[in-house]
Amino acid sequence: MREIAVYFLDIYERYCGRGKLFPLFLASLIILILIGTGSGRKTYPFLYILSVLTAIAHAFTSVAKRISSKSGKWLAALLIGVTLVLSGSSVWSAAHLETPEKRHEREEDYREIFETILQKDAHAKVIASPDMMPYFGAYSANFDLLYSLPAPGETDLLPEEEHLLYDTFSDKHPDFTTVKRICREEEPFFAVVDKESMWPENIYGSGFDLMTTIGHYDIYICPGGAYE
Amino acid sequence: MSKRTGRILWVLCILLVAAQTVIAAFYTIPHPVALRYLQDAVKTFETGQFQFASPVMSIWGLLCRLFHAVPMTFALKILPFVIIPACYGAYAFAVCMIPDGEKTAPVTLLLIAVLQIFGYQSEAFVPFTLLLGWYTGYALLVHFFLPLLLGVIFVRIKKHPPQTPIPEESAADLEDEDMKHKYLNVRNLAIVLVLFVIAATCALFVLNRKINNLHGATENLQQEIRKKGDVVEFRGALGDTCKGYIIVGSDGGLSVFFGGDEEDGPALLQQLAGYGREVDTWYLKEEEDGAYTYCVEQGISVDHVIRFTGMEEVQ
Repeated sequence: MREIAVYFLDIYERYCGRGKLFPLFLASLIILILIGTGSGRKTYPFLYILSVLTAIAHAFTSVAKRISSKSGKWLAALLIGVTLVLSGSSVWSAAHLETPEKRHEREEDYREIFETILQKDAHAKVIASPDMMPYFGAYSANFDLLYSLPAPGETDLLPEEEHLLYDTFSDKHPDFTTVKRICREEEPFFAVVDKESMWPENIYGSGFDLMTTIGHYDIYICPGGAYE
Repeated sequence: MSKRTGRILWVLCILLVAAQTVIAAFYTIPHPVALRYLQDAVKTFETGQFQFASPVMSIWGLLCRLFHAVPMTFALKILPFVIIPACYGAYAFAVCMIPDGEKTAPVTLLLIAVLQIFGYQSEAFVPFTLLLGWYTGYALLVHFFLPLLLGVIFVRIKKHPPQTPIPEESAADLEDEDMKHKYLNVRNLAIVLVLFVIAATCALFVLNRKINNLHGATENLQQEIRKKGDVVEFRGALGDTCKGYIIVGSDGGLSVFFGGDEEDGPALLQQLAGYGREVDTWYLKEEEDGAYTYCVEQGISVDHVIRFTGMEEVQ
Protein backbone atom coordinates (compact mmCIF):
# COMPACT_ATOMS: atom_id res chain seq x y z
CA MET A 1 0.00 0.00 0.00
CA ARG A 2 2.86 2.34 0.89
CA GLU A 3 4.54 1.50 -2.41
CA ILE A 4 1.39 2.39 -4.35
CA ALA A 5 1.12 5.69 -2.45
CA VAL A 6 4.80 6.50 -3.17
CA TYR A 7 4.29 5.53 -6.80
CA PHE A 8 1.30 7.83 -7.23
CA LEU A 9 3.07 10.65 -5.38
CA ASP A 10 5.98 10.22 -7.77
CA ILE A 11 3.61 10.29 -10.77
CA TYR A 12 1.90 13.38 -9.35
CA GLU A 13 5.19 15.24 -8.90
CA ARG A 14 6.36 14.23 -12.36
CA TYR A 15 3.26 15.21 -14.27
CA CYS A 16 1.65 17.97 -12.22
CA GLY A 17 4.78 19.84 -11.21
CA ARG A 18 3.61 23.22 -10.02
CA GLY A 19 0.34 22.99 -11.95
CA LYS A 20 -3.01 22.79 -10.21
CA LEU A 21 -4.93 20.88 -12.86
CA PHE A 22 -5.31 17.70 -10.84
CA PRO A 23 -6.59 19.34 -7.59
CA LEU A 24 -8.94 21.42 -9.75
CA PHE A 25 -10.20 18.25 -11.40
CA LEU A 26 -10.87 16.59 -8.03
CA ALA A 27 -12.65 19.73 -6.81
CA SER A 28 -14.74 19.73 -10.01
CA LEU A 29 -15.79 16.12 -9.47
CA ILE A 30 -16.89 16.96 -5.92
CA ILE A 31 -18.81 20.02 -7.21
CA LEU A 32 -20.56 17.90 -9.85
CA ILE A 33 -21.46 15.22 -7.26
CA LEU A 34 -22.83 17.88 -4.88
CA ILE A 35 -24.83 19.55 -7.65
CA GLY A 36 -26.24 16.16 -8.63
CA THR A 37 -27.19 15.35 -5.02
CA GLY A 38 -28.63 18.82 -4.41
CA SER A 39 -30.76 19.11 -7.53
CA GLY A 40 -31.73 15.44 -7.73
CA ARG A 41 -30.69 15.35 -11.39
CA LYS A 42 -28.06 12.97 -12.73
CA THR A 43 -24.78 14.78 -13.48
CA TYR A 44 -22.70 11.64 -14.30
CA PRO A 45 -19.57 13.02 -12.53
CA PHE A 46 -17.46 9.89 -13.05
CA LEU A 47 -17.84 10.04 -16.82
CA TYR A 48 -15.76 13.22 -16.73
CA ILE A 49 -12.70 11.11 -15.89
CA LEU A 50 -12.51 10.82 -19.68
CA SER A 51 -11.87 14.51 -20.09
CA VAL A 52 -10.32 16.50 -17.26
CA LEU A 53 -10.66 19.89 -18.94
CA THR A 54 -14.34 19.32 -19.74
CA ALA A 55 -14.96 18.37 -16.11
CA ILE A 56 -13.31 21.53 -14.75
CA ALA A 57 -14.97 23.84 -17.27
CA HIS A 58 -18.41 22.25 -16.83
CA ALA A 59 -18.18 22.35 -13.03
CA PHE A 60 -17.28 26.05 -13.10
CA THR A 61 -20.11 26.82 -15.53
CA SER A 62 -22.60 24.85 -13.45
CA VAL A 63 -21.64 26.77 -10.30
CA ALA A 64 -21.87 30.14 -12.06
CA LYS A 65 -25.27 29.16 -13.50
CA ARG A 66 -26.65 28.56 -10.03
CA ILE A 67 -25.77 32.02 -8.74
CA SER A 68 -28.78 34.30 -9.21
CA SER A 69 -27.56 37.77 -8.19
CA LYS A 70 -25.70 39.92 -10.72
CA SER A 71 -22.88 40.89 -8.33
CA GLY A 72 -22.53 37.23 -7.34
CA LYS A 73 -22.14 36.29 -11.01
CA TRP A 74 -19.38 38.87 -11.48
CA LEU A 75 -17.61 37.65 -8.36
CA ALA A 76 -17.87 34.05 -9.58
CA ALA A 77 -16.51 35.04 -13.00
CA LEU A 78 -13.58 36.79 -11.33
CA LEU A 79 -12.85 33.80 -9.10
CA ILE A 80 -13.07 31.41 -12.04
CA GLY A 81 -10.74 33.62 -14.06
CA VAL A 82 -8.16 33.74 -11.27
CA THR A 83 -8.40 29.96 -10.74
CA LEU A 84 -7.90 29.29 -14.46
CA VAL A 85 -4.87 31.57 -14.61
CA LEU A 86 -3.36 29.83 -11.58
CA SER A 87 -4.10 26.33 -12.94
CA GLY A 88 -0.70 26.17 -14.65
CA SER A 89 1.93 28.20 -16.48
CA SER A 90 1.00 29.94 -19.71
CA VAL A 91 2.20 28.38 -22.94
CA TRP A 92 2.11 31.89 -24.38
CA SER A 93 5.09 33.02 -22.34
CA ALA A 94 8.54 34.11 -23.48
CA ALA A 95 9.90 30.65 -22.59
CA HIS A 96 7.71 28.98 -25.23
CA LEU A 97 7.41 31.64 -27.95
CA GLU A 98 9.68 33.35 -30.44
CA THR A 99 9.14 35.57 -33.47
CA PRO A 100 8.52 33.80 -36.81
CA GLU A 101 11.64 35.49 -38.26
CA LYS A 102 13.85 34.19 -35.47
CA ARG A 103 12.30 30.75 -35.71
CA HIS A 104 12.79 30.67 -39.48
CA GLU A 105 16.41 31.78 -39.15
CA ARG A 106 17.12 29.12 -36.52
CA GLU A 107 15.44 26.38 -38.57
CA GLU A 108 17.41 27.37 -41.66
CA ASP A 109 20.66 27.23 -39.67
CA TYR A 110 19.73 23.82 -38.28
CA ARG A 111 18.85 22.50 -41.75
CA GLU A 112 22.21 23.66 -43.11
CA ILE A 113 24.05 22.09 -40.16
CA PHE A 114 22.25 18.76 -40.64
CA GLU A 115 22.91 18.70 -44.38
CA THR A 116 26.59 19.65 -43.93
CA ILE A 117 27.13 16.84 -41.42
CA LEU A 118 25.22 14.26 -43.48
CA GLN A 119 27.24 15.17 -46.57
CA LYS A 120 30.41 14.50 -44.64
CA ASP A 121 29.15 11.26 -43.10
CA ALA A 122 25.87 9.59 -44.11
CA HIS A 123 25.56 7.90 -40.69
CA ALA A 124 27.04 10.61 -38.54
CA LYS A 125 27.49 10.33 -34.80
CA VAL A 126 26.54 13.68 -33.31
CA ILE A 127 26.53 15.50 -30.03
CA ALA A 128 25.06 18.93 -29.21
CA SER A 129 23.25 20.75 -26.43
CA PRO A 130 20.08 19.11 -25.01
CA ASP A 131 17.97 21.80 -26.73
CA MET A 132 19.32 20.87 -30.12
CA MET A 133 19.73 17.08 -29.82
CA PRO A 134 16.06 16.18 -30.49
CA TYR A 135 16.17 18.17 -33.75
CA PHE A 136 18.79 15.76 -35.13
CA GLY A 137 16.50 12.79 -34.50
CA ALA A 138 13.49 14.67 -35.81
CA TYR A 139 15.35 15.56 -39.02
CA SER A 140 16.84 12.23 -40.04
CA ALA A 141 17.06 8.70 -38.70
CA ASN A 142 20.60 8.57 -40.10
CA PHE A 143 21.96 10.57 -37.19
CA ASP A 144 23.40 8.47 -34.41
CA LEU A 145 22.85 10.50 -31.24
CA LEU A 146 25.66 10.08 -28.72
CA TYR A 147 23.25 10.59 -25.83
CA SER A 148 19.47 10.53 -25.45
CA LEU A 149 17.60 13.08 -23.42
CA PRO A 150 16.58 11.70 -20.04
CA ALA A 151 12.81 11.32 -19.80
CA PRO A 152 11.58 13.85 -17.23
CA GLY A 153 11.56 12.15 -13.84
CA GLU A 154 13.36 9.06 -15.13
CA THR A 155 16.92 10.29 -15.36
CA ASP A 156 18.25 7.18 -13.62
CA LEU A 157 17.39 4.99 -16.61
CA LEU A 158 20.06 6.55 -18.82
CA PRO A 159 23.38 4.69 -19.00
CA GLU A 160 26.08 6.35 -16.92
CA GLU A 161 28.15 7.51 -19.89
CA GLU A 162 25.18 9.06 -21.68
CA HIS A 163 24.32 10.81 -18.46
CA LEU A 164 27.83 12.24 -18.26
CA LEU A 165 27.60 13.49 -21.84
CA TYR A 166 24.18 15.02 -21.14
CA ASP A 167 25.53 16.77 -18.04
CA THR A 168 28.63 17.97 -19.92
CA PHE A 169 26.58 19.46 -22.75
CA SER A 170 24.00 20.94 -20.40
CA ASP A 171 26.79 23.11 -19.02
CA LYS A 172 27.68 26.48 -20.54
CA HIS A 173 31.33 25.43 -20.52
CA PRO A 174 31.35 21.82 -21.79
CA ASP A 175 34.73 20.25 -21.25
CA PHE A 176 35.67 18.46 -24.46
CA THR A 177 38.29 16.37 -22.66
CA THR A 178 35.38 14.60 -20.93
CA VAL A 179 33.56 14.23 -24.25
CA LYS A 180 36.64 12.71 -25.88
CA ARG A 181 37.27 10.40 -22.92
CA ILE A 182 33.70 9.06 -22.98
CA CYS A 183 33.28 8.85 -26.78
CA ARG A 184 36.17 6.54 -27.47
CA GLU A 185 34.84 6.08 -30.96
CA GLU A 186 36.88 4.68 -33.79
CA GLU A 187 34.62 6.45 -36.28
CA PRO A 188 34.53 10.22 -36.50
CA PHE A 189 31.87 12.15 -34.63
CA PHE A 190 30.58 15.69 -34.78
CA ALA A 191 29.98 18.22 -32.03
CA VAL A 192 27.80 21.28 -32.62
CA VAL A 193 28.35 24.25 -30.33
CA ASP A 194 26.10 27.30 -30.07
CA LYS A 195 28.60 30.14 -29.79
CA GLU A 196 26.04 32.46 -28.21
CA SER A 197 25.27 30.25 -25.24
CA MET A 198 28.21 27.84 -24.91
CA TRP A 199 31.86 28.50 -24.23
CA PRO A 200 33.54 25.09 -24.50
CA GLU A 201 36.86 24.22 -22.95
CA ASN A 202 39.82 22.16 -24.23
CA ILE A 203 38.45 21.75 -27.77
CA TYR A 204 41.66 21.75 -29.73
CA GLY A 205 43.72 20.05 -27.03
CA SER A 206 41.31 17.10 -27.15
CA GLY A 207 41.80 16.48 -30.87
CA PHE A 208 38.70 18.25 -32.22
CA ASP A 209 38.98 20.27 -35.43
CA LEU A 210 36.67 23.09 -36.45
CA MET A 211 34.92 21.83 -39.58
CA THR A 212 32.80 24.88 -40.37
CA THR A 213 30.70 27.66 -38.88
CA ILE A 214 27.02 28.11 -39.76
CA GLY A 215 25.26 31.15 -38.30
CA HIS A 216 26.35 31.23 -34.70
CA TYR A 217 26.99 27.49 -34.56
CA ASP A 218 30.43 25.88 -34.78
CA ILE A 219 30.66 22.31 -36.06
CA TYR A 220 33.64 20.40 -34.71
CA ILE A 221 34.80 17.03 -35.92
CA CYS A 222 36.70 14.43 -33.96
CA PRO A 223 38.48 12.46 -36.68
CA GLY A 224 38.20 9.09 -34.92
CA GLY A 225 40.69 6.38 -34.03
CA ALA A 226 40.79 8.10 -30.70
CA TYR A 227 42.41 5.42 -28.54
CA GLU A 228 45.16 6.80 -26.38
CA MET B 1 -28.17 33.39 -21.46
CA SER B 2 -29.64 35.17 -24.47
CA LYS B 3 -29.11 33.91 -28.01
CA ARG B 4 -27.09 37.00 -28.87
CA THR B 5 -24.70 36.46 -25.93
CA GLY B 6 -24.41 32.82 -26.92
CA ARG B 7 -23.46 33.78 -30.48
CA ILE B 8 -20.89 36.30 -29.26
CA LEU B 9 -19.35 33.64 -27.02
CA TRP B 10 -19.17 31.12 -29.89
CA VAL B 11 -17.42 33.74 -32.04
CA LEU B 12 -15.00 34.42 -29.17
CA CYS B 13 -14.28 30.68 -28.93
CA ILE B 14 -13.60 30.46 -32.67
CA LEU B 15 -11.28 33.48 -32.53
CA LEU B 16 -9.39 32.02 -29.57
CA VAL B 17 -8.98 28.65 -31.32
CA ALA B 18 -7.78 30.41 -34.48
CA ALA B 19 -5.27 32.43 -32.43
CA GLN B 20 -4.02 29.27 -30.71
CA THR B 21 -3.61 27.51 -34.07
CA VAL B 22 -1.67 30.36 -35.66
CA ILE B 23 0.56 30.84 -32.61
CA ALA B 24 1.27 27.10 -32.43
CA ALA B 25 2.23 26.99 -36.11
CA PHE B 26 4.34 30.13 -36.34
CA TYR B 27 5.39 31.35 -32.91
CA THR B 28 5.80 28.34 -30.59
CA ILE B 29 9.31 27.05 -29.90
CA PRO B 30 9.18 23.27 -30.44
CA HIS B 31 9.64 21.71 -27.03
CA PRO B 32 12.51 19.14 -26.87
CA VAL B 33 10.40 16.69 -24.84
CA ALA B 34 7.65 16.62 -27.49
CA LEU B 35 10.11 16.80 -30.37
CA ARG B 36 11.63 13.47 -29.36
CA TYR B 37 8.44 11.72 -30.42
CA LEU B 38 9.05 12.88 -34.00
CA GLN B 39 11.98 10.46 -34.21
CA ASP B 40 9.48 7.62 -34.68
CA ALA B 41 7.74 9.53 -37.48
CA VAL B 42 11.10 10.08 -39.17
CA LYS B 43 11.96 6.37 -38.86
CA THR B 44 8.68 5.42 -40.54
CA PHE B 45 9.17 8.14 -43.16
CA GLU B 46 12.65 6.90 -44.07
CA THR B 47 12.14 3.15 -43.81
CA GLY B 48 8.41 2.75 -44.52
CA GLN B 49 8.12 0.47 -41.49
CA PHE B 50 5.18 1.02 -39.17
CA GLN B 51 6.27 1.47 -35.53
CA PHE B 52 3.61 -0.37 -33.56
CA ALA B 53 4.84 1.13 -30.30
CA SER B 54 4.17 4.61 -31.67
CA PRO B 55 1.15 4.32 -34.00
CA VAL B 56 0.23 8.00 -34.27
CA MET B 57 3.76 9.07 -35.11
CA SER B 58 3.96 6.25 -37.64
CA ILE B 59 0.80 7.54 -39.29
CA TRP B 60 2.39 11.00 -39.57
CA GLY B 61 5.49 9.31 -41.05
CA LEU B 62 3.42 7.41 -43.60
CA LEU B 63 1.47 10.56 -44.54
CA CYS B 64 4.76 12.41 -45.07
CA ARG B 65 5.96 9.53 -47.24
CA LEU B 66 2.75 9.69 -49.24
CA PHE B 67 2.85 13.45 -49.81
CA HIS B 68 6.66 13.78 -49.94
CA ALA B 69 6.65 16.15 -46.97
CA VAL B 70 9.44 16.63 -44.42
CA PRO B 71 8.14 15.16 -41.12
CA MET B 72 9.39 18.07 -39.00
CA THR B 73 7.76 20.70 -41.24
CA PHE B 74 4.60 18.61 -41.51
CA ALA B 75 4.29 18.17 -37.74
CA LEU B 76 5.25 21.68 -36.70
CA LYS B 77 3.67 23.79 -39.43
CA ILE B 78 0.83 21.83 -41.06
CA LEU B 79 -0.57 19.64 -38.29
CA PRO B 80 -1.54 22.57 -35.97
CA PHE B 81 -4.09 23.65 -38.58
CA VAL B 82 -5.66 20.19 -38.53
CA ILE B 83 -5.25 18.89 -34.99
CA ILE B 84 -6.01 21.96 -32.85
CA PRO B 85 -9.35 22.75 -34.57
CA ALA B 86 -10.19 19.02 -34.60
CA CYS B 87 -9.58 18.78 -30.85
CA TYR B 88 -11.76 21.82 -30.19
CA GLY B 89 -14.38 20.24 -32.45
CA ALA B 90 -14.34 17.17 -30.21
CA TYR B 91 -14.57 19.37 -27.10
CA ALA B 92 -17.44 21.36 -28.63
CA PHE B 93 -19.28 18.11 -29.40
CA ALA B 94 -18.77 16.89 -25.83
CA VAL B 95 -19.90 20.12 -24.14
CA CYS B 96 -22.95 20.44 -26.42
CA MET B 97 -24.01 16.92 -25.52
CA ILE B 98 -23.71 17.37 -21.72
CA PRO B 99 -27.20 16.84 -20.25
CA ASP B 100 -28.67 20.28 -19.42
CA GLY B 101 -25.47 21.88 -20.70
CA GLU B 102 -26.47 23.00 -24.20
CA LYS B 103 -27.14 26.58 -23.18
CA THR B 104 -23.85 27.02 -21.33
CA ALA B 105 -21.82 25.13 -23.97
CA PRO B 106 -20.02 28.23 -25.38
CA VAL B 107 -18.94 29.32 -21.88
CA THR B 108 -17.68 25.81 -21.10
CA LEU B 109 -15.74 25.70 -24.38
CA LEU B 110 -14.29 29.15 -23.72
CA LEU B 111 -13.09 27.98 -20.29
CA ILE B 112 -11.51 24.90 -21.91
CA ALA B 113 -9.69 27.16 -24.39
CA VAL B 114 -8.37 29.32 -21.52
CA LEU B 115 -7.33 26.18 -19.60
CA GLN B 116 -5.33 25.10 -22.67
CA ILE B 117 -3.43 28.39 -22.63
CA PHE B 118 -2.51 27.91 -18.97
CA GLY B 119 -1.98 24.21 -19.58
CA TYR B 120 1.77 23.91 -18.97
CA GLN B 121 2.10 21.78 -15.84
CA SER B 122 5.55 20.19 -16.04
CA GLU B 123 8.11 18.89 -18.56
CA ALA B 124 6.71 15.37 -18.30
CA PHE B 125 3.24 16.73 -19.11
CA VAL B 126 4.36 18.41 -22.36
CA PRO B 127 3.31 15.50 -24.63
CA PHE B 128 -0.21 15.83 -23.16
CA THR B 129 -0.31 19.63 -23.55
CA LEU B 130 -2.22 20.46 -26.70
CA LEU B 131 -0.52 23.76 -27.47
CA LEU B 132 3.01 22.36 -27.03
CA GLY B 133 2.73 18.76 -28.18
CA TRP B 134 -0.23 18.71 -30.58
CA TYR B 135 1.49 16.17 -32.83
CA THR B 136 2.04 13.53 -30.12
CA GLY B 137 -0.25 10.54 -29.70
CA TYR B 138 -0.91 11.47 -26.08
CA ALA B 139 -2.27 14.93 -26.99
CA LEU B 140 -4.49 13.38 -29.64
CA LEU B 141 -5.81 10.80 -27.18
CA VAL B 142 -6.47 13.26 -24.35
CA HIS B 143 -7.80 16.18 -26.39
CA PHE B 144 -9.52 14.47 -29.30
CA PHE B 145 -10.48 10.83 -28.79
CA LEU B 146 -11.51 11.00 -25.12
CA PRO B 147 -13.69 14.16 -25.42
CA LEU B 148 -15.21 12.59 -28.53
CA LEU B 149 -15.94 9.42 -26.57
CA LEU B 150 -17.44 11.51 -23.77
CA GLY B 151 -19.71 13.22 -26.30
CA VAL B 152 -20.76 9.89 -27.78
CA ILE B 153 -21.60 8.54 -24.31
CA PHE B 154 -23.71 11.63 -23.57
CA VAL B 155 -25.53 11.17 -26.89
CA ARG B 156 -26.32 7.55 -25.89
CA ILE B 157 -27.50 8.74 -22.47
CA LYS B 158 -29.77 11.33 -24.09
CA LYS B 159 -31.23 8.75 -26.46
CA HIS B 160 -31.70 6.08 -23.80
CA PRO B 161 -32.13 7.87 -20.46
CA PRO B 162 -31.79 5.54 -17.47
CA GLN B 163 -35.15 4.40 -16.20
CA THR B 164 -35.74 5.38 -12.59
CA PRO B 165 -38.29 3.15 -10.84
CA ILE B 166 -41.57 5.05 -10.30
CA PRO B 167 -43.27 3.80 -7.15
CA GLU B 168 -46.86 2.82 -7.80
CA GLU B 169 -49.27 3.86 -5.17
CA SER B 170 -51.05 0.55 -5.44
CA ALA B 171 -47.90 -1.59 -5.13
CA ALA B 172 -47.38 -3.50 -1.93
CA ASP B 173 -44.82 -2.21 0.60
CA LEU B 174 -42.98 -5.53 0.58
CA GLU B 175 -42.41 -5.37 -3.15
CA ASP B 176 -40.97 -1.85 -2.77
CA GLU B 177 -38.62 -3.01 -0.05
CA ASP B 178 -37.48 -5.91 -2.21
CA MET B 179 -36.78 -3.58 -5.15
CA LYS B 180 -34.84 -1.24 -2.89
CA HIS B 181 -32.69 -4.09 -1.59
CA LYS B 182 -31.99 -5.32 -5.10
CA TYR B 183 -31.02 -1.80 -6.16
CA LEU B 184 -28.70 -1.43 -3.15
CA ASN B 185 -27.12 -4.82 -3.81
CA VAL B 186 -26.42 -3.94 -7.43
CA ARG B 187 -24.97 -0.60 -6.38
CA ASN B 188 -22.72 -2.21 -3.74
CA LEU B 189 -21.57 -4.78 -6.24
CA ALA B 190 -20.72 -2.01 -8.71
CA ILE B 191 -18.74 -0.14 -6.04
CA VAL B 192 -16.80 -3.30 -5.12
CA LEU B 193 -16.08 -3.95 -8.79
CA VAL B 194 -14.85 -0.40 -9.35
CA LEU B 195 -12.60 -0.64 -6.26
CA PHE B 196 -11.27 -3.98 -7.47
CA VAL B 197 -10.49 -2.54 -10.91
CA ILE B 198 -8.72 0.45 -9.31
CA ALA B 199 -6.66 -1.85 -7.04
CA ALA B 200 -5.77 -4.13 -9.96
CA THR B 201 -4.75 -1.12 -12.07
CA CYS B 202 -2.55 0.17 -9.25
CA ALA B 203 -0.89 -3.22 -8.88
CA LEU B 204 -0.39 -3.37 -12.64
CA PHE B 205 1.20 0.08 -12.64
CA VAL B 206 3.61 -0.82 -9.86
CA LEU B 207 4.51 -4.10 -11.56
CA ASN B 208 4.96 -2.36 -14.88
CA ARG B 209 7.25 0.22 -13.33
CA LYS B 210 9.32 -2.47 -11.65
CA ILE B 211 9.65 -4.37 -14.95
CA ASN B 212 10.63 -1.15 -16.76
CA ASN B 213 13.29 -0.39 -14.15
CA LEU B 214 14.59 -3.95 -14.36
CA HIS B 215 14.66 -3.75 -18.15
CA GLY B 216 16.57 -0.45 -18.03
CA ALA B 217 19.05 -1.80 -15.49
CA THR B 218 19.62 -4.96 -17.57
CA GLU B 219 20.22 -2.94 -20.72
CA ASN B 220 22.75 -0.76 -18.91
CA LEU B 221 24.45 -3.85 -17.50
CA GLN B 222 24.62 -5.44 -20.94
CA GLN B 223 26.14 -2.28 -22.38
CA GLU B 224 28.71 -2.18 -19.58
CA ILE B 225 29.58 -5.85 -20.13
CA ARG B 226 29.89 -5.28 -23.86
CA LYS B 227 32.26 -2.38 -23.23
CA LYS B 228 34.49 -4.55 -21.05
CA GLY B 229 35.05 -7.03 -23.87
CA ASP B 230 33.21 -9.96 -25.34
CA VAL B 231 33.92 -13.42 -26.71
CA VAL B 232 31.60 -14.72 -29.41
CA GLU B 233 31.62 -18.24 -30.74
CA PHE B 234 31.44 -18.85 -34.50
CA ARG B 235 29.69 -22.13 -35.27
CA GLY B 236 30.34 -22.40 -38.99
CA ALA B 237 28.00 -22.21 -41.96
CA LEU B 238 25.95 -25.20 -40.82
CA GLY B 239 25.98 -24.16 -37.18
CA ASP B 240 26.89 -27.64 -36.02
CA THR B 241 30.47 -27.27 -34.77
CA CYS B 242 32.59 -24.52 -33.32
CA LYS B 243 34.80 -23.15 -36.08
CA GLY B 244 36.31 -20.18 -34.31
CA TYR B 245 35.95 -17.24 -31.93
CA ILE B 246 35.54 -13.49 -32.31
CA ILE B 247 37.05 -11.55 -29.41
CA VAL B 248 36.07 -7.90 -28.87
CA GLY B 249 38.53 -6.06 -26.62
CA SER B 250 37.60 -3.43 -24.03
CA ASP B 251 38.97 -0.76 -26.40
CA GLY B 252 36.77 -2.05 -29.27
CA GLY B 253 39.67 -3.89 -30.97
CA LEU B 254 38.77 -7.11 -32.77
CA SER B 255 40.62 -10.44 -32.79
CA VAL B 256 39.54 -13.58 -34.63
CA PHE B 257 40.61 -17.11 -33.85
CA PHE B 258 40.44 -19.49 -36.85
CA GLY B 259 37.14 -19.31 -38.81
CA GLY B 260 36.84 -22.54 -40.74
CA ASP B 261 36.95 -23.37 -44.42
CA GLU B 262 35.94 -21.41 -47.49
CA GLU B 263 32.29 -22.52 -47.25
CA ASP B 264 32.13 -20.95 -43.76
CA GLY B 265 33.33 -17.62 -45.19
CA PRO B 266 29.93 -15.94 -45.90
CA ALA B 267 28.56 -16.88 -42.47
CA LEU B 268 31.69 -15.59 -40.74
CA LEU B 269 31.59 -12.37 -42.78
CA GLN B 270 28.00 -11.81 -41.76
CA GLN B 271 28.82 -12.35 -38.09
CA LEU B 272 31.90 -10.13 -38.29
CA ALA B 273 29.91 -7.32 -39.90
CA GLY B 274 28.23 -6.68 -36.58
CA TYR B 275 31.58 -5.69 -35.05
CA GLY B 276 33.17 -3.67 -37.85
CA ARG B 277 35.32 -4.31 -40.90
CA GLU B 278 38.73 -3.99 -39.26
CA VAL B 279 40.36 -6.90 -37.47
CA ASP B 280 43.46 -6.22 -35.38
CA THR B 281 44.77 -9.78 -35.26
CA TRP B 282 43.61 -12.97 -36.98
CA TYR B 283 44.97 -16.25 -35.61
CA LEU B 284 44.95 -19.07 -38.14
CA LYS B 285 45.57 -22.77 -38.13
CA GLU B 286 48.04 -23.90 -40.75
CA GLU B 287 45.66 -26.04 -42.75
CA GLU B 288 42.47 -23.94 -42.29
CA ASP B 289 42.38 -20.44 -43.81
CA GLY B 290 39.49 -20.62 -46.33
CA ALA B 291 37.10 -18.41 -44.34
CA TYR B 292 39.89 -15.90 -43.65
CA THR B 293 40.75 -15.64 -47.37
CA TYR B 294 37.05 -15.17 -48.24
CA CYS B 295 36.62 -12.35 -45.67
CA VAL B 296 39.78 -10.54 -46.84
CA GLU B 297 38.55 -10.79 -50.44
CA GLN B 298 35.26 -9.23 -49.34
CA GLY B 299 37.00 -6.17 -47.90
CA ILE B 300 37.76 -7.04 -44.29
CA SER B 301 41.09 -5.47 -43.37
CA VAL B 302 43.41 -7.41 -41.07
CA ASP B 303 46.37 -5.68 -39.39
CA HIS B 304 48.22 -8.78 -38.19
CA VAL B 305 47.91 -12.43 -39.20
CA ILE B 306 49.43 -15.03 -36.91
CA ARG B 307 49.61 -18.62 -38.11
CA PHE B 308 50.00 -21.47 -35.70
CA THR B 309 52.44 -23.80 -37.38
CA GLY B 310 53.68 -27.21 -36.43
CA MET B 311 50.87 -27.72 -33.95
CA GLU B 312 50.06 -31.26 -33.10
CA GLU B 313 47.22 -32.67 -31.10
CA VAL B 314 48.70 -33.80 -27.80
CA GLN B 315 46.26 -36.60 -27.18
